[in-house]
Amino acid sequence: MTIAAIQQHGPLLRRLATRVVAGIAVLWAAATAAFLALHAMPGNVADILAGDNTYPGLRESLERQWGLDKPILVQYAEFLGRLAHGDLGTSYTMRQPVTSVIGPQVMPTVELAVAAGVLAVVASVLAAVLTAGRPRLRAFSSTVELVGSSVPVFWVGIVLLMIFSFKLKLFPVAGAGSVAALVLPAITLALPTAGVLSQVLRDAMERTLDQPFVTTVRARGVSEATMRVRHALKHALLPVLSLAGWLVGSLLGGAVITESVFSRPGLGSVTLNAVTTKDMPVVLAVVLIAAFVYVVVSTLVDVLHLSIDPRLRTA
Amino acid sequence: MSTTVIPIQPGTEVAEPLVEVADLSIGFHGATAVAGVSFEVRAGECVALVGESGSGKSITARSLVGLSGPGAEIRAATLRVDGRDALGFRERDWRGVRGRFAGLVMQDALVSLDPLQTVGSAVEQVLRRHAVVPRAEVAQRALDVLASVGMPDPGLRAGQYAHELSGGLRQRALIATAIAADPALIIADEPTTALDVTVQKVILDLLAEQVAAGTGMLLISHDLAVVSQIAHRIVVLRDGEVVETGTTAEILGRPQAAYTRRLLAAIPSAGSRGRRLSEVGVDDSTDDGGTGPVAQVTDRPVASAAGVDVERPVVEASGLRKTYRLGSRRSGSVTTALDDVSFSVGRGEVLGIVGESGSGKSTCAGVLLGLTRPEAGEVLLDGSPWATATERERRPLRHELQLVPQDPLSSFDPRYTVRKVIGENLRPLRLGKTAVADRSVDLLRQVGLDERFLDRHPRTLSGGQRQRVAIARALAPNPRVLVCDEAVSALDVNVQAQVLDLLGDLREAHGTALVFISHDLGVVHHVADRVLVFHRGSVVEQGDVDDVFLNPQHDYTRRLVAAVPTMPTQESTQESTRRSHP
Amino acid sequence: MTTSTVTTDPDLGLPEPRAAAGTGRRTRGAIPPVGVILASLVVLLLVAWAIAPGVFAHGDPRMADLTSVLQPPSAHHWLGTDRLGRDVLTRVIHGARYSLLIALCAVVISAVVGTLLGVLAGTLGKVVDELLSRVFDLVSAFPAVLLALLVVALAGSGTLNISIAIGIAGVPKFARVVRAETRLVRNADYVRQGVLYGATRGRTFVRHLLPNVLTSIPVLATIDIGTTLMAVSALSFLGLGPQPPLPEWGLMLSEARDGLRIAWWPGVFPGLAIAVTVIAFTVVGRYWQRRFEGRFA
Repeated sequence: MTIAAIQQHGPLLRRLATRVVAGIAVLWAAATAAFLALHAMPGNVADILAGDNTYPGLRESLERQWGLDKPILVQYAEFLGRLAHGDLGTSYTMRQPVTSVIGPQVMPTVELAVAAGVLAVVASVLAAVLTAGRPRLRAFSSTVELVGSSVPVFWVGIVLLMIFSFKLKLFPVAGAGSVAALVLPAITLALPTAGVLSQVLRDAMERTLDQPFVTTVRARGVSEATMRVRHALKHALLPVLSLAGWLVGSLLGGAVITESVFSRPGLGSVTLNAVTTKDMPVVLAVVLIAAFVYVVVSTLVDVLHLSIDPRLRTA
Repeated sequence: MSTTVIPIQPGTEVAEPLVEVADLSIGFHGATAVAGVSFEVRAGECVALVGESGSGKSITARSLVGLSGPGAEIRAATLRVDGRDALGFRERDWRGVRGRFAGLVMQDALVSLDPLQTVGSAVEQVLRRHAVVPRAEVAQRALDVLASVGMPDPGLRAGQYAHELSGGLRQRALIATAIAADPALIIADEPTTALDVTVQKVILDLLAEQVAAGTGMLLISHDLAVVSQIAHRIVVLRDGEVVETGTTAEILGRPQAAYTRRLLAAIPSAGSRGRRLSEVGVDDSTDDGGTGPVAQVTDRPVASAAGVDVERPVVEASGLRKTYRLGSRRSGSVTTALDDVSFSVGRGEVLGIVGESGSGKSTCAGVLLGLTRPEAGEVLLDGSPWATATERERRPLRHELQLVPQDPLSSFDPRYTVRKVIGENLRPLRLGKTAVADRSVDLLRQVGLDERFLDRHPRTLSGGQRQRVAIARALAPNPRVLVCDEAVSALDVNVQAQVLDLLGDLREAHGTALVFISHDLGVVHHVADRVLVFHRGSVVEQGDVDDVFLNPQHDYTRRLVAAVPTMPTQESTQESTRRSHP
Repeated sequence: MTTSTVTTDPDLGLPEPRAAAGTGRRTRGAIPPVGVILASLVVLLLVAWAIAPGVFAHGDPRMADLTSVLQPPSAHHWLGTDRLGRDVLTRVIHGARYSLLIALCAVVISAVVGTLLGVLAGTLGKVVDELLSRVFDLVSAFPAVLLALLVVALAGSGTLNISIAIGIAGVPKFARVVRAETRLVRNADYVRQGVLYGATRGRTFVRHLLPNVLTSIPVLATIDIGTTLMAVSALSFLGLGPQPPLPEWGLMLSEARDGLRIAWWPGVFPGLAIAVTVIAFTVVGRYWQRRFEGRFA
């Protein structure tokens, strides 16, 4: 690396380092909160484990077996230690490691979330680039967006199922085996996200198109397409990037509902199951995974921000 | 500086004009913005469109490159651009004209260059778009263009972004993008407005060079002094219509229209000292709408030295020091905003403070007003400590020092009406309810407004009216000192003239001392008795305003004074104005 | 005199000139006033349904009538009947009370707590600000539904619990806006210079800062009712909120989903009610937001 390159990337690396440290702090805080939640739950853990069974010595043996008889700080330290090794604990109801409960469920959810995310991003970028600052198109697309972001996910899912699966029989009703099975859930999940995203993107583009430099750039004779894609979209991506964390969150949250509507396997259905059966280790593992994803995404976003906006690099 | 005007090359007269505009009208959704404007620009000629805000000068200029805005309806008897009839142009035709035939330079390159694009790539964009040179040579040509506008070390600068450059270099970069494809015409829309006066001179010289090299230029400006530096012909616009057209010498020397004469007379300068800038009785000033200035005597000299008592200063500042840290605690650099600054303000005196941006003059205002605590030094108010006093000690004396800010609107609570704005500042007087109302009306009358304004919201007022309300508010608690921080900088010249006259009248009526901070040497020369010249946090020169400006001693002051564009015929113009209004 | 006319591309998106600027902002992208009036009427109707459902629908929304199970929409049952023979329209009207009330509670929780924390973060200095901002970050790191699931897992399901759960999830939204607004107002000239006009810190806070910060809250809350209603009905759709036979919209959908192959109406209409409610509140809220921004811009 040349000196110039180091100088250029210096703030970037420093920023990245602080982000990583902050991210670890967030994860630690989330883990601690999870640990506290686990122990602050109404009802004793051993009671939940015991379920309806009652015989003398059961509680004690359960407590010993699960390490609940140790001092709380030791339990906390062990909990953190296990986490550091990627051990998310043991499910109360299934009596097997949480990782093996959750593991097989990760891919279907990732498939769904990625498909929906890509769909939402592509749709909203197209909508924003084509309609920003164009009154008639804009009125149409903002109505579509309003409706898109206002209809409940589960209802869209149900309506799509009724039309395309029950009536037209184009797509399977349930399951996660094929690409065809992914189509309806992905559209369902993408719809509200795309609605919000394209509103934000278009607002940002319009604010950019209102700026004085746009006149200067147009005065160079560049085409409208260049203006919108090379200049305005680039500016509009900055505020949208900040939404990336929200985007991932809303896809994960929406996945819970979408998976329930389409009876798909995945993290969502595992979570829902765990919530109804009060299987806290599983619930908390999902929460920790969400926190981890959020930290990774927001760190990446920060780096992207720096690489797009030179004003941040010199600040 | 006044010698910059380049004689038009002989022979260019016969050539076809670059642009030819006759009877141009521009409307937006039925509302007319420009009506019946005609002018031409020839190669090697600089034509200036001059007018106040809302005169339609920018829209007119932009219509020459098809950028007058969405929904603009353009009608004209003739609109010829580059020898072609532009009335039939479609968007595609315009794109061929933009950048290639005509380059656009706008105000303030910080916002007029894409902040996410390096200046080099901005220049390359023009070169590539119009295929000026083969692709392989684009990068090299971009560096050449940057070098041609006097960009030092173009290789380094080409990789930088607008925010990394100083104001002057930034503006050069903007000009480079405009001239990259070697256009026949440059449209310069307020090209020096946001710049410091010394930088302004450099940029004007650069533009003059382009004209000298044979490029045609359409210069848009609100500032006649700037225009007089490089324009051959001037078109004076008002409310979208042409008031007067003529050569620079004609317009400045023998203005025919009353509006032009008034515009010229309103320019504050050394020559206008002791005189009113605005005319009383001319009541077509839609710009403002105050019910007229307070004093009804036209020829009475303003700001006589009566009542000034420099021997008994009301404010004494000594050894003021203030530094700011930029960036983080460890790696940030320290800027000295005030460095051992000492001065005093006499009773009823007008002290001018001039300096370029970042010279520390606003920090000085903050310290004076007790908003910023200096690191060292003291300000004495009537002999007792002020700057180092606690807020509790200061509060009962706060009303003695009042501020007239540059942007009055932001200094009003958005929920407040004029009545509440003024009423709040009458609290120190502890008046009864009716007394507050009476005094508010009285104050409004003093600033040329009346009771009809009491229940208006400031945001519904014009710029001049807002500034009048701000002055009324400042006067409310009977202050001894008014600090005017760039108080007239955002106003059009006619409105500026009215506000300056008002301040002069009030000072005479109340004996209030003024600390008048401005970047505009003309304004300060007009109003001030004494002046401080700030440069990088220090006072480099102070003294009687005539002594300092007419016979500057310090090197920096000399440069500053030399950079101020002055109109060669300004004196005679004002004489003629006076004669025509006995 | 005028020989021909030319109209420049109306889609250039350039700032409009002064003369037209006033109207430009307002009309641009606005839901047309007709839509706003319509939305306001919908909101009023919903509120009326919530307050006095009996006026609009006769009969008991919970009473099963096995003689008229799954009747399609007809003159007698406008929106048909569900699998227990209950009139869907009656249930939708009565459901307004539950759905709106739960959403309203959640919004009130978010708005009150969020405003309080936001003002604190915005005024109490750097340390408190940093700390609270990090907490907002952390909480908003989790999707609202997941956060609500967590609360439900800890505290159990139920109507009040999902209100609280969604309310907590919404706190950072308000807190962030209020914090930003507070800092903006705090640094505004009229507050910073207020000291010149003899105002004490307390007076400035009460007379200038607080009123200017708080004015945006009702509008924000109105817009938020829509989004909150969606989250609430999602939870009750998942079976974590009110339990049968309450006529809550999300719950109604959940109950109807098994019979969708046979009868679409019990599933479609409650969902439509949710969508229309969300749209109506959003349209009304945004309209006021724009009006409000226009006033103070």
